[in-house]
Amino acid sequence: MTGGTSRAGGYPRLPALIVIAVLTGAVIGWAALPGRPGTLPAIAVIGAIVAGLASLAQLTLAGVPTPRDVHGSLPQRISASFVGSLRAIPWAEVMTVAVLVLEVRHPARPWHTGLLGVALLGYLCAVHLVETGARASVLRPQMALVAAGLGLLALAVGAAAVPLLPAGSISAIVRVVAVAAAVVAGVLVLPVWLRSDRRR
Amino acid sequence: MPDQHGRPRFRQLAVGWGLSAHARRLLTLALAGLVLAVATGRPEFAGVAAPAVLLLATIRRTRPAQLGVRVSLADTQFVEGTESAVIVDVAAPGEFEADIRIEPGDGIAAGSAVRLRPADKPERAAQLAFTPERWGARPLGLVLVTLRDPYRLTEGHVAVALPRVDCRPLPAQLASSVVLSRLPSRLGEHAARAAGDGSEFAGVREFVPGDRQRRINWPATTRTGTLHLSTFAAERTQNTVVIADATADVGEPGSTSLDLVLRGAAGAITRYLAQRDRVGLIIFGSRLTWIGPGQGQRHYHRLIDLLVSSPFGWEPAAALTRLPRAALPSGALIIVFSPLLDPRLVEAVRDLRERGFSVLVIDVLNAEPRPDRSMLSVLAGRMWRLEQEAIRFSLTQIGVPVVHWDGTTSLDEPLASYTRRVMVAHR
Repeated sequence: MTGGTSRAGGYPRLPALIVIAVLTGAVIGWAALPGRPGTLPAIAVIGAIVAGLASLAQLTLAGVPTPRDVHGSLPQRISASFVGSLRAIPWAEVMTVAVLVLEVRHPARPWHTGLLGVALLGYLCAVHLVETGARASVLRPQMALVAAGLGLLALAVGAAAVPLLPAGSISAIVRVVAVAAAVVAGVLVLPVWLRSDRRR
Repeated sequence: MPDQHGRPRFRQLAVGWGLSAHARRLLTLALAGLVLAVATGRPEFAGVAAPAVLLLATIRRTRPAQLGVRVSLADTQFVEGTESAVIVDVAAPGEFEADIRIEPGDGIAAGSAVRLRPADKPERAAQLAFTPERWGARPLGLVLVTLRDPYRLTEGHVAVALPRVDCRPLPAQLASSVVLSRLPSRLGEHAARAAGDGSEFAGVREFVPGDRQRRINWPATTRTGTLHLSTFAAERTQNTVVIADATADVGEPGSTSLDLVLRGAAGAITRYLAQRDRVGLIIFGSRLTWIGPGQGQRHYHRLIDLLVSSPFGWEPAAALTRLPRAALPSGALIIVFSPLLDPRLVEAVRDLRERGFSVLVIDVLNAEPRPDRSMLSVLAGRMWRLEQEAIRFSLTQIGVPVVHWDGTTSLDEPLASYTRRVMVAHR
């Protein structure tokens, strides 16, 4: 393992924030469109949008120190309490839950949920990278597990899709893909677990 | 206790471990996916939870309970607005990444955090920059070390308190100096009016028995036909007493009257000590503190330390006349840095002038009351300005020059008319 020192925060934040903004919009749009009638979907959409924007603001303001002047002017005190409350709530988690709730009511097929899961995982990893100012390479040790997880996701989507598919060659292909995904997931996860157990 | 290289030894500090924000978000995704899968009977939601569950399954239970940390400061003296650094050595297990940053105390601006990537070396060092924003004694804050495991699911936190430091005011620039016409009989570097053994040429006179032959001025001797001698100016030192008026602190933060007083006083002390004058300091604050004139590097540090550590504020201070003679040696040049808001200081300056001291006042008042739009307020503002003008005028009338310094330029600018030639010392 190579060693070294680097200035944290030297990571280009703006492109990463743009990526997160795009992912946020994509995830919310993917789960919310087409619009559904009812109170719960409306609440979930509003909640997801608010949480997504707040999460973006939270990441943008991460390096800004909280004003500590208790004797400041009213706008200063309001901005200080706004920044404080913005930082206190885990907005990315709120958005994740809201988007999944929206997805429950979505009329589309299981593959739609599968893609949403992939996008959500990417969103959470991007949030972590921006939050810690780390480069994408720090996620390299997790890649095997992520790949295994995506294999299992494909398996689950396949399992959900099987009853919807007509009997025949497509159904057989989906079953083969699901089995292959399960095998690949096992192959990827086992070495990581074994290595982890040895360290313990 | 320091080690053999003079650095402090490693301190073993307990590490507080917990889930990282990334792990908490993955946990939320996993739980939400599984709950929805069970509630709706749709396996694809369990699939959404699968990557998060697999990642969370790698959370390790074996983590270092203690972390060796050694913190030292790169400098021993700190000046406002000047960057310094904290050196942090971390003896962390190689596979953990360490983020180190300063949680700054009040009036301290911290630089960016430093990341120590996993290394084979057992000890890893980081330099964290910080800048004291204002003079004074202030706590630097905390050094926060965050350890992250390779999967970035757990975080360990260690906090180390940094010491309280005395931050000195940034000395105002002063390249010239005010020199009095009469200097005490003490060897120094200023050319005096009296003849002596200095190196500055003063004139030519006729030779009288007893004069040194090596000083014969041969051009004048051959021209006149009689022996003539070169004369030189004596080199004397000057006693300078700096009075810092710390009774008022008005104006914009960062350039208040007290800031300018201390910066100006530090600049004058630095300049006069550099030219080997004897410099004393009197602080006119909530109480009078003073150090008599002296020379040398050690004396400089004593003066600057007094400047930083003296009590400031609007409380009754004893009259300057009560100071012992050693603090105000006769014939001394007295430089007063003041916003001239305290009538007691104005009276003290008058008193000093009446006692025969050569006094120079540097007015650092940078602010004035902001009247509202009412007639009475505007009138009061005008009266205040007239009063201030009257105070300055009355001082100039008794032979005390008053110059204004706004803190943005060097001190040479307002003092130019007094540094170009010697200042006549009245009696």
